[in-house]
Amino acid sequence: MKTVLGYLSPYKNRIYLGLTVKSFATIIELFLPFLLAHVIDTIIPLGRIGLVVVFGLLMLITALGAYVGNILANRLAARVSTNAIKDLRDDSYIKILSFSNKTVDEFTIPSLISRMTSDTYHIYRMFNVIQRIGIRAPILLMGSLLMMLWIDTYLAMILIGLLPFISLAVYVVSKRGIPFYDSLQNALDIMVRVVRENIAGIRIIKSFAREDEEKIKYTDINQEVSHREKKAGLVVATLNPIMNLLLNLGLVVIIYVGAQRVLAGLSQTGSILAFLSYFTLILNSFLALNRIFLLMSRAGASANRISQILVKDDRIPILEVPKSDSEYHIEFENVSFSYNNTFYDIENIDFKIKHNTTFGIIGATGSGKSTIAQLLMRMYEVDKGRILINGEDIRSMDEKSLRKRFGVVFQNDALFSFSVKENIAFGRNLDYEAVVEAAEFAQARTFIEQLSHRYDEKVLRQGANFSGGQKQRMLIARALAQHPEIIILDDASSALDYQTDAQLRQAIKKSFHSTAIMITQRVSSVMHADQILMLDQGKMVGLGTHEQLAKTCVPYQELMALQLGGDDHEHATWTR
Amino acid sequence: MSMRHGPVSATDKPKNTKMTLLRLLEYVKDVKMLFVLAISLTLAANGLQLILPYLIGQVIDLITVIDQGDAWSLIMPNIFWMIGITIVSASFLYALSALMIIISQKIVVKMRQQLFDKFMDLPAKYFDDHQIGDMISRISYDIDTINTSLSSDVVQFFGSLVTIVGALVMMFVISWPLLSVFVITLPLSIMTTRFLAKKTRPLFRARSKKLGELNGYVEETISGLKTIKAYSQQQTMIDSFKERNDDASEAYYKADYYGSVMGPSIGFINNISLALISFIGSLLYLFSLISVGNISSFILYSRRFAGPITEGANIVAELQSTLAAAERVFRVLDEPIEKDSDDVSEAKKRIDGEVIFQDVSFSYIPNIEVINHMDLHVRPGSVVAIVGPTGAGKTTMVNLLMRFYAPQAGKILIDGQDIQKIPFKQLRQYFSMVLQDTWLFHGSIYDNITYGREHATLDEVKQVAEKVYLKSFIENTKDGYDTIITDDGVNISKGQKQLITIARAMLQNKPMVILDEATSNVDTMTEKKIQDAMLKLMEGRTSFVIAHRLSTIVNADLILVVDDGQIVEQGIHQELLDKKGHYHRMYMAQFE
Repeated sequence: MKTVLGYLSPYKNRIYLGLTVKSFATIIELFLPFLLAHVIDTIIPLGRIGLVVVFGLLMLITALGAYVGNILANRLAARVSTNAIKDLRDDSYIKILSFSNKTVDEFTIPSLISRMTSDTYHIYRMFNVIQRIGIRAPILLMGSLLMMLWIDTYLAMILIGLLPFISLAVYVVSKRGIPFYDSLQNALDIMVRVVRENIAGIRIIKSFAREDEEKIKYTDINQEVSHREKKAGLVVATLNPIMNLLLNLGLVVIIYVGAQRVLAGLSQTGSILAFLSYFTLILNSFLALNRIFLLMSRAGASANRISQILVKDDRIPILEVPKSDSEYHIEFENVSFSYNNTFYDIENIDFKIKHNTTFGIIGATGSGKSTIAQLLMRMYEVDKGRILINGEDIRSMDEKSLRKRFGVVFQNDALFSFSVKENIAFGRNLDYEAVVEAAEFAQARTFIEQLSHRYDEKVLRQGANFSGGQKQRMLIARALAQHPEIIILDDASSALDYQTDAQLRQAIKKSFHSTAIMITQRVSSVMHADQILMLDQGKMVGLGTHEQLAKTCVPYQELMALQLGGDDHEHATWTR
Repeated sequence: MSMRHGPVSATDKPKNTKMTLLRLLEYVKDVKMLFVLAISLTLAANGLQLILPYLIGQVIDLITVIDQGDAWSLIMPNIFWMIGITIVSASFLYALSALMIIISQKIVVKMRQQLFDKFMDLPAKYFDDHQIGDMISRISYDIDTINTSLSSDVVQFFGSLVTIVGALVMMFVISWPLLSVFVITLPLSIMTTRFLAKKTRPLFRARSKKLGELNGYVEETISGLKTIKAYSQQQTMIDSFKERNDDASEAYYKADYYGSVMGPSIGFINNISLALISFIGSLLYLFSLISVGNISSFILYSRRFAGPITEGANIVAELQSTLAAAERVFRVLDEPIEKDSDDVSEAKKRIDGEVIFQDVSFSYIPNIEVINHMDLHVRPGSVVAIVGPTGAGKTTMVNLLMRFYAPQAGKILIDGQDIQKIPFKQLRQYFSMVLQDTWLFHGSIYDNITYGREHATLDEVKQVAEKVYLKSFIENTKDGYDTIITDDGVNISKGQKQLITIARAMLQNKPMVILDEATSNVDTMTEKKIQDAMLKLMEGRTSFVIAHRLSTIVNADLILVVDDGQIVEQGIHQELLDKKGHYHRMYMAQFE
């Protein structure tokens, strides 16, 4: 909370100004009922029209003052909260983009997104409301009390005696209500899960002709949600009538006591009238304060979630390691790594890759193939061993100069809702020719140039307007642009047909002086590589050429046989 | 803005306000009596509260006019009345809230059930065209908006109506000349509200839009963070974010800048009323046309009168978003459902599994043919392999066989029966289906395996579990067949999930199966098990296999080659190779 509130401090002066104006306007407003009482008690009996006009004007001026002041203060508040929340969002976003993958995994991506969107929104609401009502409600409350004390101390005490009861009512109702709302939320979560499950499996459900049974199943949770909502609602619904009752009873008491005192000459009629006005103000400020508390408790949780992002410190240090010369381009020296520090996801990985060669990595999902690419790009830190590029430990390079060497397509990689050109160039200063060239190598040129806006065609979210194969080709074009030193394609051609896949491999071989790392589950995609690494459950089970592995490596043979399917067919599952 | 709105509030205006409102009222019909009771309570509670200012005025007059003495005997009845009214109206208020909660829950439960039932009845096409998140937001967020509105806004609306009318009448009775104040201020506040609403509405809409865009950008870039980092493009993304953030913040400020005028303006107009009332009231008093007590009552009424008018603007805004939500719900309810045509006749109970396509043509989008005059004859018990690259439209066959989609021309016959002419449910009972994304629901392993055959015995379940190599795994878990499969599925691997769906299909024992072979995301051992289990499932059944394994393809009785969304070739392996067409090219490409 403190970290987040700190974002208001650059606007301290404006806040103070705003609050001052607001207080001023509020106090002016408080004088209105007072003036009214004065008119009724003193001016009317005098019977002087001139004075009535003067006081009428005075009330008008007061109202005008409150009007102008309130608007001014509200606008100041709007400026402060929008600016503060803009800063907060900027900083959180910058921070998130600087997070290491380990940290991102810890937070999880959906959680980071919801922090950036709904949490910042709640905080904005809080900033705004605190400035606008946060000062006004207490001033109205305290001011009304003071005015009442001033007008008639005795009568005012009656109201003050009422306050603890009102507070108690608010406290008890909220305290009893919250658990009911928690349990409602649980039921709602279950209901949403059931709906999601049913929509996701609609084809299966239909294939079993089970629609009617599912409807009946839904009825149960539907009723349960409703049942809990009723319970929660019935508790919270007591608050309004109770406050109403208490305040109105207080009013009756004041009139009763007031009447006695007026008759005894101790109070004046106008005072009672003024009290009635202040009563309304007090009721309203109570309602406002109640709202603020609700908002604050929700925003407080949001503020904590944002703070966790802002205070997280995970800068990756750059190590001072002497550089040694090496004939190899990439070297893994006994590398072990664990995502969650319980067991090694990859263990003792050791290989060397020469310049301008193709290196294939093969193995089942979960065998650690992608992890090797992630480590090479220093998306995660190795736990044991080291990784060298041109004899230089990657931990001694700064992030940018390390990553500049790569052109990469990850598994399920992302296209952004920019144009095709921007997706390929991706922030790098590429001219049009370079983009076209990359598209050409990636076998994407033909289809792009058939689009109605060609390279300026807008890609919809998650590339929804392109087929799987087209998406992969654009991603590959992004990776190939600028002729990177190292190309990593992680399961990047699974949606390509064989011809295209083969053409792509040939294009890389012919036109690029790059080292290529191909990660796949398909034997046919790596069999032409200069070297193949076979992984099984994070361990190296084979390293060599296709021919060597086919002779000596049992798991590789098994994989071949499996993908082969029959005895007399030489190659691979082929329709992935 | 009310508390209930999320980050992007549903400010879209309803398109056909009147129709939607009428349709919402239809739901009220079911709870007619309760609703009438609620309205009566509203009238009573608010009406009672309106008597209070009158009584207060009476008391004030009594203490100003009458000197001492017998005033008390006149004051006390008033006091007792006030206490009575206060208590009764507070209990009415609570009863009213409770009643409205009950009413709105009745309506909401019904609506939610209707919506869910509708989802179950909609054709598969609807789910292909709409996003799951959108559907969920309709059944949760939209329904919730309607709920809140029903339980609070309706009461508030009628309450306000009573208060406004009642207060007007009371004020008129007390002093009609004083009422002239409102001839000035009432139109003023209505005009102000309308003017400001008109001015701010587009600003608030722009604000929602900008925020939506910003959120979209955040979602997209954070999801693609790995890529951004791989290309060191953080700064580019940050710069672009800052621009959007600036835009969104400015849109917020603009909306608030004008929006913040609303409250104080109404407050100002109310204060002017107050000043005018006391001024004119004083004049009237000087000419003995009104008593002090009546001025007090009048002022109290005028305050009650002002409240609902201030609220009025808010309620209208809430109602708008409620109607928009209702419309979104109704739009789903109006979608045409999957319905058997009138001339359907009972399907055969037992079939052999012969499938014939007669001159079938089909397209998802008009004029883009997917299947063009296809003829096909599948003999009972044979295996049809559907092959082609990922995303090439291999599920089309499944869609047609199960009648998730209907062909535009031609006929599909199963054991001589036109599938258009038998009921959907009976047609689908002919098939078991095992798809690539395994569908399991939150429930026990037992429930998941027996899905669709609840009366299966434990022995039968054990038998199929054994056949799909799951028996020892299941029986080694702590809860055995009662082990709960959770959403995150940490306790069960992907391969095991696949095996459960195969077991489920086996237990069904249907004459035909539809299988998707893509199972590469598992370890070698499990893959073998899956392959074996699938072979067992295909035994003796007419099988349509979205095939990925060469052995399945080569041994298939019929191969359908799909490319770029079209079925381009059909035949057996050797035939197709000899043809030197698509199949041949695909087959050879892997050897390059």
